[in-house]
Order: sequence, then structure tokens, then C-alpha cells
Amino acid sequence: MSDGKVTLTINGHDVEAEENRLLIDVAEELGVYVPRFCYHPGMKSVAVCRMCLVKVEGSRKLLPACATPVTDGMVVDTVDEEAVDAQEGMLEFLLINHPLDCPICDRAGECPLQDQTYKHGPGSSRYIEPKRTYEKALEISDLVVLDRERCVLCWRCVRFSEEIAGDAFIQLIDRGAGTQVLTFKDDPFDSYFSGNTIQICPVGALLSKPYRFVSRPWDLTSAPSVCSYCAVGCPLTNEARAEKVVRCQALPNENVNDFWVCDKGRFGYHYVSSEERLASPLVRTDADEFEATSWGRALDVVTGRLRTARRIGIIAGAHLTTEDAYAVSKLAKKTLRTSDVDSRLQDAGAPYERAAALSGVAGSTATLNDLESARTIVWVGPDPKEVLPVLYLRLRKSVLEEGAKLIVVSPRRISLDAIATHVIRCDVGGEAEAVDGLTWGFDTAVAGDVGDPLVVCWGPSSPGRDEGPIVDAVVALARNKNAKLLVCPPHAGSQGMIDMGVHPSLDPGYTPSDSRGKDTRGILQAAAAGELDILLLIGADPVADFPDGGLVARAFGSGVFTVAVELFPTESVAHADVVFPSAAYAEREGTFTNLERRIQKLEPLTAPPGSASEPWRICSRIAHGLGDDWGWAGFNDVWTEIRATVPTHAHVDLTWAGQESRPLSLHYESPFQPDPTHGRSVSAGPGAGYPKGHRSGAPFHTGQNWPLSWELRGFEARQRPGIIPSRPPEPPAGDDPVSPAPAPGAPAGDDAALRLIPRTDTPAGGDASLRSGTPLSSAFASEASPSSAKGWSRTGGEDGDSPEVKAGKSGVPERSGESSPAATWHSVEDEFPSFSEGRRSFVLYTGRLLYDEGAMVSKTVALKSLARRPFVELNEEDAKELGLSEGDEALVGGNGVRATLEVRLGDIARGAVFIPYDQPGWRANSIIRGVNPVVEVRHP
Amino acid sequence: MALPEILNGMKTVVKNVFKKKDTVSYPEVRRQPFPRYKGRHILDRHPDGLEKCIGCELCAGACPADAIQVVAAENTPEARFSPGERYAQIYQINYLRCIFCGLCVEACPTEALLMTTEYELSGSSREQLIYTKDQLIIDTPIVRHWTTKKELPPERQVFS
Ligand code: SF4
Ligand code: SF4
Ligand code: SF4
Ligand code: SF4
Ligand code: FES
Repeated sequence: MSDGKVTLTINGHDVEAEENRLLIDVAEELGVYVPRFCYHPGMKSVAVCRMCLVKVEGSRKLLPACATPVTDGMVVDTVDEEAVDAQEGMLEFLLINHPLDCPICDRAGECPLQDQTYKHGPGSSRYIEPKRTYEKALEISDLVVLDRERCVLCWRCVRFSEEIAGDAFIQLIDRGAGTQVLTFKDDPFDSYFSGNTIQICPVGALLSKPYRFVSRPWDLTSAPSVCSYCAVGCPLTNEARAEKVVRCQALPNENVNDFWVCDKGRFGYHYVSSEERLASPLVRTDADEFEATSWGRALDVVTGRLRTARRIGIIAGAHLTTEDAYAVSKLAKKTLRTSDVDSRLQDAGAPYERAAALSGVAGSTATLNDLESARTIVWVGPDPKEVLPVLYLRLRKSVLEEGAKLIVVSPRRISLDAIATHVIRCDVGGEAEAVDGLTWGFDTAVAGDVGDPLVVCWGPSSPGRDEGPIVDAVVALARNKNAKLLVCPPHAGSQGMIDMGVHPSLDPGYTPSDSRGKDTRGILQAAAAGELDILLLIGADPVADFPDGGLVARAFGSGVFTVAVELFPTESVAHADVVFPSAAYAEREGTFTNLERRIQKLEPLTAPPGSASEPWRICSRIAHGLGDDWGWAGFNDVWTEIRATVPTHAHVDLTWAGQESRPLSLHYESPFQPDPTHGRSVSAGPGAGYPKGHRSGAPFHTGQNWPLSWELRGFEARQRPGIIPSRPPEPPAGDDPVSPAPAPGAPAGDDAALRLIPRTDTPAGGDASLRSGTPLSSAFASEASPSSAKGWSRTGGEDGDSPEVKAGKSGVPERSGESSPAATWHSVEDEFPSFSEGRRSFVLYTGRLLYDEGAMVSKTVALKSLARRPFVELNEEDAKELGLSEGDEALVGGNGVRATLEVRLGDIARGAVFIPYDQPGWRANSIIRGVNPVVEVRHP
Repeated sequence: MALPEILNGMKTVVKNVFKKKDTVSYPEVRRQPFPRYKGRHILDRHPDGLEKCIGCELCAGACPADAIQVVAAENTPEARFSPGERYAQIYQINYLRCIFCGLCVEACPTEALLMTTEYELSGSSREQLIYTKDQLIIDTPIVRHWTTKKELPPERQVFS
């Protein structure tokens, strides 16, 4: 019984196991399956179903294996006559009230109740009285359907909602024989994680509405994959019927998602089989219309242009895979010899490269598992529940189960506030200062809780603002406290893009580029100024995503020759001259690199529509057309080259030897694989770690968190002066504002300035909103000029020193070039002391909500209707001064565009408004101009 | 040497020449198969006119020849096809694949799928031999006509 190990006997086999482990798990690892309903390895045991009763020598009664820790010398018999009798009895009880409508139940064929009844149940029932009935198929939300008759009262859904997701929308009500599972009256099951209850429900009581009656498990083929939405990178299995993806389920990976995925990941697969997908290359004809054409001709048009073009800009989207990223980077930097390539759209203001000041890695040094061993976690960023939902679950688990202290720095109330030890409510842009406060211990109330090990999390929060000062502050905190850093970029492909050098100043593997190129804003500005010969958009939709609607309109208005590689005819594609159709994540081999730099593999399941192809292949064909033959025939060739040329990835082993998922006691044994060794029990066998229906045979890997391997191999984390600016040591500054040294060579030509309040009567012109909204009335716009900035200001700008405005090409005001590299934040209260006219300027703090108008979500039938209408969130005091209250309509204006939005009152810093970034009907980027935007709000 | 064998064989021939012929002159003469002959399928209805088939796909799951395709959908109060929640939106049997084994009929939990004695299945194209739901479903519910083995006349009991 040394070093926490105990020895016990299960069905005559001696096993050694760690102390405190549950008997049910230890038995399963041995290959002895104990039937179960309520036990789930991701949640605490409650032992309510009594299905797992086993005989333990010395105990007078049978013990539930799911609530019995192993002890030394225990002698267990799971197939003892008494235990078998109890199991059969429990199943007979459960079936008394079960409707047995398997023929119309979606679970049939993969139903734990069916399977365990076959294996452990009695052959027949003695119950002949009428069964209890309820109304069938209640729609308890837009995604979940509940059939109460089938419920076996295992509490899994209830425990998940309370314990894991933290939003208790479902409960078991009433007592005794009348117990039923139900949501609260008038309250839909409105959780971002509701789909998980469908997957863990051991019967067909909770059902997926989009998958309802769509298929039978034996019709499905499946392949392991990775969610294509956010940077958490939850492993999924995609399942298809007749070449159409019809279901996604979570694959368990303890390192990433435990057992869960969010509803966006689970139900967001429809877009793959959308009718609107592009299926063949398109070329714009002389009549200004798209014409379907052959790949050869489209490639000829593009390569012909590229041969003569001198000024090329490339913008890649953050939903592409790591190989695509490498191909884009190679096309730009090697074949076309330009560094004008970037992948940052919504996160355009996020200088990830500065995060490398900590360790040489422009990404996380922490892993998601580090959150669980941390004593303190500092969160500076967006609302993770909206942007990185499963990261929110991991944070929640770290805080509530592992006892980590959480310090949240945010200008607005976010979901984490409810579990945080300390909430620092700062001004918009005041995050950097608040983080400095933690670094230097000014905030004595909080300082005591900043303990070791510390993980500092940062993610770009509000599209359109410069995150530079925040990154620098976060890096300084991490360095000062010897903490690990978790960088949280927004999208599935974001980290891969940075790693592979789709970045104006970093080459693959964070090697500094020879020349610093233009970032997204720079490329669009060049296009707008007519200084670009050709613009390549590879999976990028700047019209929807780039936080400066006016600039995008000018860029496309200039008529620059545009090539787009896309899934859908997006609004950006509408401006293109040549379009190549791209394959979606379920149709291709590939890898995504998640926010902890874990590389995980996508396996192809269905065929892409028409002749759509992977973006890396398209890049390589373009290069081939330019006379640069990369010699890539398949996915493995790309990786051979990545390993050979990208130092950080030299040891990435895509066979993931030894990293297969450990079988987790998540799945039920099949009654059809008798195992002679253990009597009635059945060994887990191959495929036990996968949900049923996973039949493609492709092994599921947990992925590889690559820097760990090179850290072991002694890769030296180093600073690269000049490329990755280090932040000078901060003097304790009291109330005095700190002016960080401008980053050496901060993106030149960056609109990093400053007071962006529309100051002239801007006619709509080329600058009008791209989708909707009307020009500001002149009265509204003309009085909006900032009077003075007496508050703290990061540039130390002069009071009343408003930027010059001169008319741009399209009659649009443009600021003169005196932009400063560091950001200026307004203290709006000082600038606009009077509210007598019922209008005021606010700093715009935007952010994405989980369900938005993104190209993929909006093409997904199940999620489309969930996206909320846009609204504007105001501080209560501010609203009072404007005479607005909850539910009112307010007029919001900026960038010469205005819109009427519903008012919500919220806990947000004074002088700031929150507007969701991309909701149906109206896009917030239309009112954003430049960096750190300001908008006006008034009573309509 | 081989004569005894030849004579023996001829004996069988001569005996059969004078027997009543089993062959008929099809198509002028069509023979009525035994009642439980397994021919083309039908989908039955309930007495109230609703379809018996609930789109459960069990027949498709049971079929060894992968001849059946079922795509289910949900009944709504406005468009109700079958009792309960689920009905077959698409139901097809591919008679180029079907081996008339009858496993589908056995699998059907609602006795919706039955086999008739119709054996004249031919066509000049693949499409003609993929029977859709319209062709398979009958308009008036059938009345059960079969009897047990014992009640069948003795000469009919050969196939049962
Ligand atoms: S609905 Fe499903 S998960 Fe919830 S208690 Fe009933 S059987 Fe368990
Ligand atoms: S948390 Fe992110 S990666 Fe995971 S399922 Fe949701 S969107 Fe996908
Ligand atoms: S009779 Fe046999 S082969 Fe024909 S459809 Fe039915 S199960 Fe399939
Ligand atoms: S015919 Fe019978 S087995 Fe086939 S789908 Fe209909 S009800 Fe189910
Ligand atoms: S009581 Fe152990 S699994 Fe339910």
C-alpha cells in the first residue's frame, strides 16, 4: 500500500490501482464493465440509479461501484449472483415506466438503456399495468427536444447544467413515481452548452432538434475532427449520412475539452452542406457578372495578373488550417516576395508578436491543464463564454473544483465575474493600467491573491482597438511574477496563422521577416489609396470582419483586382474578380492549432461540392502557375516541408504515436461483443474510446502541444530585440499615467490614432455603411467634435489637440498622418461634460456573441435563429443622463453612419458602450473608423 | 456397358412425358402463386387511413441486400401521415437488389410492410425498378386473409 497504491481483486483478477479511484473506473480499465446510468466520469458521482451494484466481500449490502473508492485488499465480484439479480431488478424497474418506443426514438441503436437491457436486463417484464404518460416531444429550446416518458431519472442533465455549465435550466421536479425532468415554466433551456446533455443522456429523453429523425446510427459514417469555430479546438466526431454531415458529437480529450463542446460547435455543421457553397471557380466577365469557369482558366487569369503585379496584398482568414497557413505564408513570402500578408481581421489590433517578448513564442506558454494547477488566474480579455465557450468551462472548473483564485480585469461585466475572487472594473483601455497595478502590487486588496503558480490569460476583446498596451502590460505581469501566459486568439485557425508566419513581421516559426510588411489595415489602406495591384483574400471576409467598415468600402471601391478563396459567396466575394471555391473542414485532411498550440487532426468525411479544393492546394497551384513548383501532392508533403523548414515544428509527429485517447468510461459496452475472459463482462475493446457510430477506423488522437516537445529539447526561449519589442520596466506610477515606449517599428501607416469622432457633415458617399444605416444628420455629426482630453491619455496628447481632418479621395474626411504609435484613450467625461442636448460620445467596446452573423453560423439552419438582434449596452448612470432606460431605442452613430438599437443597461464602465460586433441585420463595424473608435449615443 | 444407365435415364424421361405438364404458356396463362409466396412489397394502412409505417428504418437495417431506403420526418398536426411523431418521408425499395428474403417484413414493428404474391417485376430501366412510396403504399387497408398451415389444403402446404 505504498505510494498511494492499493491492491484489490476484481472478479478473481488482482489489480493495483491508485488510492481514491472509483471502483467502477478501475474495473473498467481491467476490462470488467459494470453497468451504469448516472455515473459520468466528467461529473461527481451521485449514485442514484443503483445500476452499478456489485458485491464486495465483507460488506453486508451490495455497494454502488460508482461511489465506492478502491481500498486495499478489497475483493469485488461484479458477476456474483446477488449483484446480477440486483442489476436485473433495477432494469426491470426502469422499464416499468419506459415507453419502449424505440422504433421512433433517435437514440435507438446507440441507446445505453437498450444495450444494457440486452446485456444485463431480464428477458421480460412482469408489469402489465398502464404506464405513466406525458406529453411527448416538448421543445424546451431551439435546439433541444425533451421526451419525459423516456427519462430514467439519472440526474446527468441536471448535474451537468449545475456543476459544469453553471446555468441550471433543467431540473427533476416532483417526487416518487411522479418525478419528472423538466425546464422551468416559461424558461427555455437557454444554455450555450445544452447540447452536451443530449450526448450524455443515457436514453432518448433529451434529443437534438436538428438531428431529430434524420438518421439511424447504422446509417452514419463518421470521422474524428476538430471544431472549426473558436480557438479552443474541441475534438469532435463528424457523422454523415449519404455524404451529408448530419451530426457532430464531442470527443473526450481531458487536455482540451474534457467531455464537452459548446452548442455552436455541436450544431454548427450545417454550413458544410449548405446549398450556397461555392462549387466552381468564378471569373468576372466584361459584363461585370460572375461566370463559372475551369480551374485552368481561373488560374491563368490570376497568375497572369500576379506576374505583372508589383504591389500585392494578402489577407488570410482565421478559419483555415495550419497547412493552409503555411501555404499562404510561402506563397507570399517566398513566391511573391512580399511581407504584406496578415490574418488578423476581427483581432486586427492584437499584436500577438509582442506576446513573444515573454518567451519567444507568439502564443501561449501555458496549456489548458495549467489552469487547473494554477493558484491564481488573471483574465484580461473578452467574455470567454461568448468567444471561447469551452475555455469558460475549463476556467470554471479550475476555480470551482481546483480552487484557483480568479482575477478578472474587464470594463464590462462578463460571465466570469460570477466566479471571480476579484473583479477589476476598469475603463475601456484602462486594462493595461489595471494589469500594471497587479504587476506592481498597487492594488493591495488584490495583491495578496496573486500567487504562484500564476496563469495570465489575455485575448483580444474589442475589435477595432489597439491591444498593444494591454499585451505589453500582460507580458510584464507574466514576466514579473514568473507566470505562464495563455494567449487566446479568437478563431480556430488564428494560432496556426501566427505560427506559420501569416504575419507582416514574423516568418514561420517566429523568425523575424527580412522586411516588415503591411498588416491588414495597411493592406486595405493601400488598396483604398489605389496603391495595390492585386489583393488576395484567402478565406477572409473583410467586409464582415474588419473593424473599420469605411476603410473596407474604400478599399473595394478603388476597384483593386481581387482574388478570393472562399466557402460562400460572401460580401467580400461580391467584390472579387476571380473566386476559387474552398473545401470545408469536414471535407479535408488538415490540422488546427488551438490556443495552447495543440495541433489536432481533421479527417475528411464528405466530398467537397463541385471542384472545391483545399486552400493550400490552391496556393500551390497559383505558385506552380508562376513557375514555382512546390511539389506538393498531398497533406503529408506539406507537413514534410513544414517540419524541415519551421524550426518550432521540426518535431511535430503527425502519427501522434502513443497519444491516442485513453478510453474513458464514457461509452457503454455493446452487448454484441462477448468477452470470454471475464464472464458476463465485456472488455472495452478497440474503439471503446469513441462514441458509437465511429466506424471510419481512423484513430482519434489527443493532438500534440508542440512547444512542450521543443522545450524538452532545449529550444531556447529568447527575445529578439527589434522585432518583438520588450516592455521597459515600469516605474511605480501611482495615479500618473504610464506612457509605454512606443514599440519599435509599430506598424507604420497604422491608423493608430485617435479621436475618431466624426466631425464633419459626412455625406454617405463611398463611406456609407456597407449594409444599412443612414448618414448622420449634420446636426448630429457636426457638434460631436471632442473638446478636450483632460483625463489621462496614453500619448500625453495636448488638451484640445484634435487631429486635423482633411478631405480624402472620396470626399471622406481622413486624418492627417500625425498618428502616434501608442494608443490614446479618451476620458470622455472630460471631453463631453454637458449632456444637456441629450447626446454624448462614448468609447465603443464591442465584442462577439456566440451566435452571430458570421459566414458559417448564418449558413447553419439550427443556429441562425439564435443570433440576437444588435443592442447597445450602457451604464445605468449614463443612460439616466441620456434619458434612456432598458428596452428603449437609442440612436447610435459613428463614421457617418447611424443605427437605431435597443438599449440594455449593464455593468459597464462609465463612458463606454458595448455593442455586439456582428449581429443579424446590422454590423457594428460600419460605425467604426480607425483604431479605438468612439460613437455617439442619443435619444432618438 | 453404359446401356443400363441410359435405359434407366430413359425410364425417367418416358415417365415424365406422360405426366401432366407443369409449365404454362406465360404470359397467356398466369399462374396464381401460393398465398405466402414472397413477391413485391406493399405498405399497409390503418383502418382510419393513416399509414402504418412510422419511418423507423428497421426494415432498412434488417435488409441484407441494402435494398431499402427510408428517410423519416416528423408529423405535424397539419400534415399527419401516421400515428405518433414519425413517418416515412421517403420510402424506396430497389428491386434490382432485393432478394425477396422477407427479413424486412419480419423486422417491421407495425406490420406496415407486407409482401404480396406479385412476381412480375421487370422493367427497361433502373428507375423503373426502384419502387417509391407512392407505388408501394396501398389506398385501402388490406384485410388479413391468411390462415394457418393446418387450414390450407394439403397440396398447398408444400411451400410453407
Ligand atoms: S433527461 Fe436524460 S440525462 Fe436527464 S435525468 Fe432523464 S435520463 Fe438522465
Ligand atoms: S468551444 Fe470553441 S472549439 Fe469548442 S465547440 Fe465551441 S466553438 Fe468549437
Ligand atoms: S425482402 Fe429481403 S432483400 Fe428484399 S427488401 Fe426485404 S429484407 Fe431486403
Ligand atoms: S416499413 Fe416498418 S420497419 Fe420499415 S420503416 Fe416503416 S414501420 Fe419501420
Ligand atoms: S448508482 Fe452507480 S452508476 Fe448510477
